[in-house]
Amino acid sequence: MPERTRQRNAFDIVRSTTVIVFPVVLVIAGSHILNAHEIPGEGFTAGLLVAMSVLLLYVGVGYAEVEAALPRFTRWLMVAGLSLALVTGMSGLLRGKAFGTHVHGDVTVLGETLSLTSSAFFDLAIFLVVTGSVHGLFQALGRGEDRAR
Amino acid sequence: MSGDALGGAWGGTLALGGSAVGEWAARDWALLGVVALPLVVALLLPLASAVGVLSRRSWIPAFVVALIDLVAIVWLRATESNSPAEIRLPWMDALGVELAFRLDGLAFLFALMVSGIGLGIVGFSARYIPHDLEVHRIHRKESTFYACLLFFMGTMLGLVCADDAMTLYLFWEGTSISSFLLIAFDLLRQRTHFAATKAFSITAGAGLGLFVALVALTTSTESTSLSAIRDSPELVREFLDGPFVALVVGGILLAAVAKSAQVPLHVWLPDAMVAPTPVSAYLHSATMVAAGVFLLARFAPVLGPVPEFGFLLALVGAVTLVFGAAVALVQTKLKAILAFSTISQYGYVTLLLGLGAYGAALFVILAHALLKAGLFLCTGLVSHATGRGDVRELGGLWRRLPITAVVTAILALGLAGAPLVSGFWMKEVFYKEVLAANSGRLTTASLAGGILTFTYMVRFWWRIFLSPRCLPQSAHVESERTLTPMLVPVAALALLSLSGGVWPGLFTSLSDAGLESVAPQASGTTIELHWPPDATLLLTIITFALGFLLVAWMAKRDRLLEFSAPPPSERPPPHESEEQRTPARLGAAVLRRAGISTLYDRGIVALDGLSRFVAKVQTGVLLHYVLALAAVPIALGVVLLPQVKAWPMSVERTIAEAEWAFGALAVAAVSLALASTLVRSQIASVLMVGGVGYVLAVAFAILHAPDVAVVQVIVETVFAAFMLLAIGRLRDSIRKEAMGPRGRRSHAARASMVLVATALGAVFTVTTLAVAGSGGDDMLGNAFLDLTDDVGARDVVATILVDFRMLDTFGEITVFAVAALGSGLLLGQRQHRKQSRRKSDDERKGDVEAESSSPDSEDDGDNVESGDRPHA
Repeated sequence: MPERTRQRNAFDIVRSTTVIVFPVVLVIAGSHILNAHEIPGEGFTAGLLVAMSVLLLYVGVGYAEVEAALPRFTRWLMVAGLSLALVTGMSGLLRGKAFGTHVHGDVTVLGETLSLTSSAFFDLAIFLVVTGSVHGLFQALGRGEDRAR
Repeated sequence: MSGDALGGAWGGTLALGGSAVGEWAARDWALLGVVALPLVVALLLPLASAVGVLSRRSWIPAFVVALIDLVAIVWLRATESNSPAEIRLPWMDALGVELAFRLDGLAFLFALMVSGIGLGIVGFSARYIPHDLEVHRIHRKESTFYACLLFFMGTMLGLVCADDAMTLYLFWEGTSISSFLLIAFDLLRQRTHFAATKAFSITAGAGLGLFVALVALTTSTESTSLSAIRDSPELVREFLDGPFVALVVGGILLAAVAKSAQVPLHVWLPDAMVAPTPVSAYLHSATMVAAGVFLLARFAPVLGPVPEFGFLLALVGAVTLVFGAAVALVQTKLKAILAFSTISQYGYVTLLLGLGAYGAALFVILAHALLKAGLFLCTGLVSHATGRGDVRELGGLWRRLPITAVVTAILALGLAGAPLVSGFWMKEVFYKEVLAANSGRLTTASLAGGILTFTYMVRFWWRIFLSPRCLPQSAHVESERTLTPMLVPVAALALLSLSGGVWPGLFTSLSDAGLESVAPQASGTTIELHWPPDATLLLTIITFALGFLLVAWMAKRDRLLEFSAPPPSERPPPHESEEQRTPARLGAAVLRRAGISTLYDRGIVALDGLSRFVAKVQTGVLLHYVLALAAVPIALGVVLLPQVKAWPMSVERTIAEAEWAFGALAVAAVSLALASTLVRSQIASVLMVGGVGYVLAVAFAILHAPDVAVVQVIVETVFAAFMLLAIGRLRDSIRKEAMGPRGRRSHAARASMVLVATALGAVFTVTTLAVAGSGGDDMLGNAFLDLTDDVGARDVVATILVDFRMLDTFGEITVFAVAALGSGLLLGQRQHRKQSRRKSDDERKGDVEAESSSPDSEDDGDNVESGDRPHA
């Protein structure tokens, strides 16, 4: 019995830590995407972070529970990412320039001047693809290990 | 690129196209739409049916698309007024390549055929395909069929309308791909795989010849626009005087001969008859095989002056014409007869093109397409009604299927050359040109071909409909009433051929439209009948007479009307009985054993064997793979590194104050690496390797490379996670593989692996030092830094990834996704097999606490979806 209680306590610590850390990681990943051009970190690292955070959820909360709560989106993430990348690239073609030429500009919204770029969409696409791929791999590898032998 | 200059672009208006794109009128865009519409709908159909829309009636969108295209093409031609619809979009600016389409006369003729016949085929399939899928137990969706059919229609239209060399090639290979998809429609049968691969490898392989020819042509004329090349005599002269003539002639001939199934590259067409009948009617008789002769016609203005071009074409055409007709005579399967007939009829066209009679060739193409498509559809009708496709099992169907008999008679006898049908004028026009060529040999060959054509077509029709009953009385024949919706398109084709026979001007106006793009100075084709008979008509009469005699002779000797025919089997009989040894049968037997088809088949088997032999390198033992991976760099390093001259003798001390930090980091990294080899637990080992990565990240951070440091940390964590998961999964099997019988790796083995790892590390370290000492150029790096400032960003790495090298990154994420999908599939398979093995193990032990049984663990490797496994 003591063995089980010790394991249970350890598990509870991991679980509560995970639940707190998970949203923080998501926010950091979001900041990587939005600030890709300013600070270290871009769509690629954001994708890895999100995939890792889901893995953390698997460890902390349990594979079955997480799978039950999350929708089955892995493949669609990759598809969405690749399509978005394609569309962003085509927008360059439609403007008569080479494939993948991005638009940079300043937009004044509500008195604030924002410096926007369409490459954020491409970053988002990279993010989607990387999240989908890495998460899919984690799923494929980690499936069935919930019942440790 | 600067933010100021493009600030206006964000004002809400997307400037749709620069000057290059904006100068085309609506009708030019309509031409693009004609090509794009079938392709787009082909993409949407499977999506729609996945969502559940239109899965039963998926022929309707296909029909509508074909109708729209047909109407659009006719309208575009009618509203031409001096300039054909043309659109050119920039594609590869640096090479001057465009995505260009132009609806000139030749394009119009072929596009009309493609969309018109396509319309009929879709109408026929609406009723035919559901029944066909059921009878042959093909588990594919109807919507997939129509999607593939539309894909073909789109690529074929793109091919005939293409006005740029690379556009032409793109759509040429597109037709090969769509033919592959349609032939292999029945995915589960080995035969269809084989046939589809054969067809594809021959036509697409020969298509490489086309590519080479196009590149050579555009290089010597400095232009990729086909119409510009054709219309300018200086460019043509330049090309003909240049060095590439033989290459271009050879390449185009190769591609055309393969695509139009001429001897010797005809072997794929009879095999392609495993496709559903509407596919054979559309692709392999009327449109796709016509692409070969289309190519010849397209390049005739450029290659016509070359004497070898005409000579080779005439030779190939004459040989094919006779060969195809002779083989067609001894076939027993309906579709095989028609396949060889197609081969032979395109021999007619090739011969005419070789003689320079372009107008006649186009006329024959048009007339033949209608007749042959109709005949294939008749075969479909007969097989739908009786379930049989072999002449030896059919007979006397005129009573049960009278209208079908009449329609087939019109088409079959028309192809044989009977008057009042377009086929008669086909033969007339052909003989006229052959006689004009004044060659005794050609005339004899043509006459022989004509007689054989007559004979096999009469045999075709006779054996199905008129011969004394070979069908047992009780055989089920569907009533003709149920066939009516399918009869309509066939009857339409027959009617068109009849009207072409009664009023040949209908066809000549179309073929002359095509002629003006091929040979603008040539006069139109005149069709007239001279009485008393001139040489042409005389030849036709002789053909009929001798044909009748041949039919009568064969009938007498019981070749045609085998009263008591043995039931057919899948393979031809190995030994032929004495009385059936006709020269034709003997020839067929020889071909079967030593012909080109056998060469191809044997070649494929040999290739298989070779690949299996080479695959012996894959031992399946993880350790061998790792050692092989390590061996190559080590070997290369040992061989190449001693040749490096410039080693960095002194290291620039840029970060003097951090020397002690680097020292500490180096010590930490080395000790972690060593410890990872000494530790017993695999998990600890992995964590230590991860630790080395983190140490490196710190080093990057000190070296003012924060982006690399961040990525290093994240990637190292991901990698460690992967390794831990993998260890968890492969725990048992790795243990058994890597550890000896005593459950622990022997010291010798361990020491040798450490040695290999150290050698690998040493090679890479020395290589890095050698690269550092080679004195690189800072130009690119500084350029990137400057450009990043211009863009207004601060992170060079991210900007390079997303802006400057965007296309690279796009390729990388595609590879990423594919690798993840592939690995996921493979891992899913392994998991599945493990589960089933575990299940049988537990059952044998009689363990009550075995895992919950998954119901489909028996089908090994069947379930490759990355689906969830049920947990108890």
